[in-house]
Formats: sequence, structure tokens, C-alpha cells
Amino acid sequence: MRLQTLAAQHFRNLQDFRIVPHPRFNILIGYNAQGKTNLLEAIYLSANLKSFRTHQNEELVRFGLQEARVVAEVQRGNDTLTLELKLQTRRRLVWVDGQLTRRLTDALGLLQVILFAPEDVALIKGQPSARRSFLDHAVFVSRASYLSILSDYNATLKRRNAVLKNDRRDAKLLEVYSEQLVEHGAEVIGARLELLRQLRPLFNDAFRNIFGAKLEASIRYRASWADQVDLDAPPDANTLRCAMLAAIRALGGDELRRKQSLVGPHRDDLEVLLDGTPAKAHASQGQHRSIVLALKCAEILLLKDRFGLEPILLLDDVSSELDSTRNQQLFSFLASLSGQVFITTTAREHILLDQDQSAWTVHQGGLTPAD
Amino acid sequence: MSNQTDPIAELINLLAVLPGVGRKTATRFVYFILKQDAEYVKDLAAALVELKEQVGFCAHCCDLTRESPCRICGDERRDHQTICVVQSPQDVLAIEATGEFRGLYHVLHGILSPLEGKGPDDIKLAELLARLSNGVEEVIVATNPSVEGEATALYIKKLLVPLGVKVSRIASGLPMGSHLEFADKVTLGRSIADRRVL
Ligand SMILES: Nc1ncnc2c1ncn2[C@@H]1O[C@H](COP(=O)(O)OP(=O)(O)OP(=O)(O)O)[C@@H](O)[C@H]1O
Ligand SMILES: [Mg+2]
Ligand SMILES: [Zn+2]
Repeated sequence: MRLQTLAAQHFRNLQDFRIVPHPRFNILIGYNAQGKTNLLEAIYLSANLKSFRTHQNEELVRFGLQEARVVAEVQRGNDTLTLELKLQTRRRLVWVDGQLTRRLTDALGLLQVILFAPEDVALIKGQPSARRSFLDHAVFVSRASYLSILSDYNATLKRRNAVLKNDRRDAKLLEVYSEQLVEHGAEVIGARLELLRQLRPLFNDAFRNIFGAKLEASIRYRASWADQVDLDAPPDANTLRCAMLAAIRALGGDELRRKQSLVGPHRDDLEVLLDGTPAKAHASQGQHRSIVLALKCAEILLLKDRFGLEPILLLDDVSSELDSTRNQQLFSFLASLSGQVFITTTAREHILLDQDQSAWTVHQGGLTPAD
Repeated sequence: MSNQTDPIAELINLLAVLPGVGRKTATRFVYFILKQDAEYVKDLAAALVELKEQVGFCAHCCDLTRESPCRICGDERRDHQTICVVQSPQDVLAIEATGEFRGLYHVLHGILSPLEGKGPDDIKLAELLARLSNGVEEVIVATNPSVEGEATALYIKKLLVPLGVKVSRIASGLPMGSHLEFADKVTLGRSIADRRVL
């Protein structure tokens, strides 16, 4: 999968542009606050129809204007398609090959991108919710039906919590919602575990390639309520349902006291270990960066394997904090992939590529070909 | 005091609470009514009063009806051992239109909705339980295919199965989140025929 052209009008601080990206590497060089991340954001929006930085359309439209437009011509296998996104204060509209889509989700995932943003370095150290989002996103891109599985679970969870909060609580109704939570929850966890099973070897490889051969990195799914179940083995749905239900029974009193659901995938977490030690507490900054990069690269390899289409990789300021050896290893690993990559940098010398690339200088929102 | 309030504003306020009617539409209604002759306006007012005075719950199925038992509950040719449970009177009309179902109905007038604070006492569940002594063998739950609809169905199952009643659920050919009353006849008809035991 690759962008053949990308154009935008009135988008953030970017001067209206149309570029023809290189099928492999595209380098965006510029000082701070010139618009490099904004350009990646425009690509990300074409794929996900929402930004990674804001929920507010206004922020995406150039100050003082009403509407921004992003147009991407995408090559998917033997097909090409045109995605056009219009951002207005209150709405987002999407045209696919000139046809206005009825629902935004109709256009979701036609273009697939994997983003590495500087904030992502905190993925392993930060809140569990960020790791769950990473995981859920990875499941979703490899299996579109996961979106409805997850939203059924979340809807059930919300209602079960409302039952727990209600003082006139009906025991039978709580029982019904427990069973429904377990039903949908087991589906969510099953999908996550299956993804991890496939991701694991790819992640190990990617990490070793980027960070060096000495360390063994592994990922584990953590569910505090499931201490009796070996989650690495992938258990079947029935085992998961039984374990969840048993945990709910065991914790029932706590749930009533705290008036919220304490068992289920909304409480679970992902743990990365380096040579058996939790990375969360012990890894260095460079190791954190390498872990997250390896996770994202693993996601790309998985999608390539699954659909034969490699998503586009967006790397925002990826080289800072990596020592020169690791940076070199990162670039030789990137060169071993075959998909399209967009990389931003403040310093050209970080980019260790000698072929297959186009470069632009980003200055005050303007793009000029470099070289 | 009522003779001091503006009758136009008063009627706009009254109409604006109707579902699907905002202040703008309510205002259009009011000016339309003002332009009609006195006869029409009298008939309209009388029809409204009569509606409320004459239409009430059927003592059996809780559907809205002028006479109790309603036309369906009073029909001896229908299967009185099978009851189809629905959320609203409109759903009765929708299922009747399919011609697939020859049993009786029970209208809950709502659904168990934790988010809106609607519990078992807020819908016509006790009335359903009261009907079971009369030889009812199967209850088909035809609540909407939503999270609340499923939960209400399972709740009814928990209530009725211990009493020896078979409880089934309409097949989910209907997309999650849809409304029975807007489903097309064929889909709705098939989902009753293909119901599954809960
Ligand atoms: N809606 C908007 N209209 C105009 N300018 C905007 C808008 N939104 C953001 N900007 C400007 O865009 C600039 C930031 O661009 P961007 O985040 O892409 O910088 P960058 O090149 O990635 O910098 P860094 O290297 O610091 O990450 C800021 O100067 C900001 O004021
Ligand atoms: Mg930036
Ligand atoms: Zn009746």
C-alpha cells in the first residue's frame, strides 16, 4: 500500500501543496514548529479519519479559515483509489473515488498507516489504557469486525456499572449483565490473545534487529483476575468465560462496594520483558524507544502477512535518543522492509539511507524538494 | 393565570414536546390550525380528549386498546399458549403486519435500561408473570436487538424458566441497534420463524 500523491488545502500551518511521494522513503527535514508533524497528521487522518493529536476539527483548519481538505491517491495492490477528506468545524466528510460515504466508518481502513510519535516512547512506562489502545488498534487493523466486538463489550460494561451504581440494584439484572460481560469480554480477550500469538515472534525479531542480539524481548498479556489461567497458551473461549465468571463471583463484594466492574478486558494490561525483567521499571530510554519501534514494525509485518499489503509507516522524530549504532540498525531494518515510509527529522544526518528516497525541507509550512 | 397566557405560545409549548416536533414545527402546526374552520378544530380537540378517555391498557397484554380484552386477546382462534413479548405497541403492529405470528402479545412499555434508571418495576413485567398461570407454554422475547434488548430477554428467561415456561428469542437477522418497528416485513417475519431457545 502506498500514497501516490498527497495534497492538502488550508490544513494546519501547511501551505497548500501536492506532492508525489517516493514509493519507499520520504524524508521531511525542518526546524521545530515548521509543520513536519502536521504533514504526518494529514496522512494519518486520511487513514483513520481522526487525528492522533486532537478531536477538534477547528484545530486542523488553518487559523481564520472554515474548511480544510486532504486528498490522497492510494495504491492498494493492483487498485488505486482516491480518498478525499473535508474538515469543517462540525463535520468530517469523506469521498471515496468521488462518492460521498454515508458513514465515516465506510472509509475507515482503506488506507492503513502505523504511526510512531515521540509520545509513544511512554507506551510501556505510562498508563495501561495506552497499552490497551495499542493492542486494540492492532487487533482492529488485522480484523475489522473487532470494532463491533469491542463496542458491544464497552456498551455492556457501561450498563453493568450503572447497575452496580444503582441503589435499588436488582440482583437478577446484575447477574444478567455479568453473564453478558463475560460473553463479550471473552471475545475481546480471545481476539487480543490471538493477535499477540501472531505478533510475538515478529516483535522478537524486530527488537533484536533494532536493539541488537544480546537481549531477549517478550510480551505478555496480563489479567490480574486470571491467575489460574495460562494466557500465553491461548485458552479457548469457554475457559476464558469460566475464569472471568469465577473471578466476578470471587470479587463480587468488592464490586458492590466500589460500584464498578473490576473484572474484564478493560482492566487488563500488556507487559514487555527484557531478559525476563519487566521493561516498565528497568528499561533505559533507548530501550523503550526500541521496544515501541519493534512493536510497530511487528504490526506492519503482521498486516503484510495477513493481507499482503504493507501499511505505511509514519515515523515522527524517531532517531533522537538512539545512539549511532542503534540508529544505524534501525535504518538497516527499515531498509529490509518493503513498504512506504515517511520520516521527519530536525537533522538530515540522522537519516542513514543512501537510496530509494525523496526529501523535502519543511519551512514555515512550505514544502520544498531537498537535494 | 391561564387567561393571561398567550394561547399561541401555550399551544406551541404543548405541541413542541411531541416526538420529532421541535418549536419550529410546533409553530407551523399552530398557524395551520388557526387557519382551519371551527369545525375542524372542534373535531381535533374532541378526538384528543376521546383518545385519552377511551384508550387504555388491555388487562391481559397491556397493549393500548379501546376495549379490554383487546381484539387480539379476545380472538379465540389465536394460539393462547404462545406469548410474544415486545417493547412497544408499535412493535405489535409491525409483527402483525408480517402475518407470521398467530399467538398473543405482551407489551412491556419500555425496556430494562440501567443508563436511564429503568428497572423491572418500571416496565410491565409483573403483568407478564400474572398471565402465565393460564396454560402459557412458550414466551418469545422480541425486544430490539440492542444491549438492553438482549439483557431484558435474558432477564425474562431467568424469571420464567424456573416456572417451566419455554423462553425463546427472535433470531438476530436484525442488525444490532435496529428497531423492530422499522424492520422490513420479510426480515422481521423470518426472525420470528427462526427464533432460538434461550
Ligand atoms: N490550525 C492551525 N493553523 C495555523 N497554524 C497552525 C495550526 N495548528 C498548528 N499550527 C502551527 O503549526 C506549527 C507546528 O507544526 P508541527 O507540529 O508540524 O511542527 P514540527 O515541524 O513537527 O515541529 P517539531 O520539530 O517541534 O516537532 C506551530 O507553529 C503551530 O502554531
Ligand atoms: Mg513534530
Ligand atoms: Zn390484549
